[in-house]
This record gives sequence, structure tokens and C-alpha cells, in this order.
Amino acid sequence: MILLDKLLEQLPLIPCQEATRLASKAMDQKLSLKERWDLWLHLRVCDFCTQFSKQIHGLRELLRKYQPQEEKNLSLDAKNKIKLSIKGLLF
Amino acid sequence: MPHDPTDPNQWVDLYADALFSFALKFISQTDQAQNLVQETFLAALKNRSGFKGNSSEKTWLLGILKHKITDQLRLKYKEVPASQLVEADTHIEDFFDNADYGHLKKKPGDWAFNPSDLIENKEFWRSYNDCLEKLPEKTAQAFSLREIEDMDSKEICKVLGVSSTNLWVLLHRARLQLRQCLETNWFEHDTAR
Repeated sequence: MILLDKLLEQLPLIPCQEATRLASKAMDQKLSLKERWDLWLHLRVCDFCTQFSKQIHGLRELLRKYQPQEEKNLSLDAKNKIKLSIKGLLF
Repeated sequence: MPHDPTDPNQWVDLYADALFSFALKFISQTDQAQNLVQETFLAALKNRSGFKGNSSEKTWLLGILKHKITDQLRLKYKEVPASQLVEADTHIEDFFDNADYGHLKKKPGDWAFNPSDLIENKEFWRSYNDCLEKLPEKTAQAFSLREIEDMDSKEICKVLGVSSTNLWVLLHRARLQLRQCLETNWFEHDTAR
């Protein structure tokens, strides 16, 4: 496979700025055949962009499972204000 | 006092913080986020019959909040003139090295994490929120709608009043910046522990 990669490296490669743009776009939209080829080829030979792609996918996986927690707290005043506003509706 | 999620008197104490934290991912102004939380409780209590018990009270309240958030965003961006539609998509090139291949300035590390471990980690989400806050407002909103809400690109474009090309730029910018911020502020420290 090393020889293959050496051969692939000779082919015209899109720059990393473009590759990361496509890697990102692929997460939201179907890429064209050319875009898919350009990206695949680049990722094949570029470990920076491959890691980038892994990270943004990992982040997506994490966020999709996200459950709201008390990361930030409302002030006591704010909570009391809310309680007051709903008072009439509680029975 | 034992928690009883079915008792509306306890809803504020049980859920307000979580709802508030969620709203902040889409609405940067604290008082606006607070108002949305208040409106959520009001709407929930006015429409208690709407709760069918198919999910938890928290999930139901969150659903109401999500609608209010997207309604507010739609309204906010409805009247924005075309020239303001895209936040400065400047500086994407700043993430990259100008020499050689023009790769990212620093090699992304190996984030060896198990999603299940991080999901419940409040420290992590605080770091994440800090990073999110550094993004321009619409960039953060686009990202949150896409990644947390799993909203379709076309739908996001309608809510934020942007074209699909604009959206891809926003999302790309968000990913570049968030990734870098999390790497520096969380994942790099994590491996050092």
C-alpha cells in the first residue's frame, strides 16, 4: 500500500483548506463525484486532515447524544421570577 | 423533599437550569434565554393536556422550548437585509499554514474518547459552552441547530435566513473553531491527566 500511496501523492491534490471544507460539507450535503474523489485522495495522503475529519465526526456523535443538564444555573432571583409568573396557573 | 417530576410545583427547581443551559446554545443573551424558559413553563402549564406521558416531563418541556427558540430565531432573521446575511467568513485561512501543503497549523490530536463517558460530564459541557460562546452568534446558532437539533440544512436556512452556501461556510467555520478550542482547552489537558 505504501507504493500505491506514493503513486497517489503524484496526482494533483487539493490543498488542505479545500479538503477540510469538503470534509465539513460532506457532513451536511451529498458531495459531487469530483468532490468525493478530491476528498478521498487528499485524506488518503494527509494525516492532518484525516485527524480533522475524525474529530469533527466524533464531535457530531457526541452532540447528537447530548442531554441538557445544569451546566449554567439561573440566579435565585430569576427562578423566583419564573415561579411567580406561573403561580396563577398552578393548582 | 423527595423529587416528584410529575408535580408542576417542582418543575422550576427540577428543570429550569437544564432548559436555560440548552437555550444558551442558541440564544446568546442571558435575559432572552431566561424569558424563553419562563415562556416555556407558562405554555406548559396552560397546555397540560398536551402532555401525553409518552416521554418524560423534561423532554416535553424541552420540546416546547425548542419550538420557542426556532420561532424566535426565525423572527429575528426575517428582516435582515441581504448584505448582512453572512457573518464575516473571514479568517478561515488563519487556521492554515501558508507554507508547504497549507495544512492546519497544528496537527489535530487523537481524541481517544468514549462518547458515553463525556455525555454526563458537566465539566466538559462547561468547556464546550465556553468554546461555543466564542463563535459569532449566527455561526453558533447554525452549528447548534445542525448538530444538537439534527435539523435539516434546508430548514436551518429558512430559520436563519441564509442561503445553503452561506450555511456551509458558517458550519465549516464553526467546526474549525470549535475543534481547535476543544482541543486546546479540553482534550489536550485530558490526555495529560
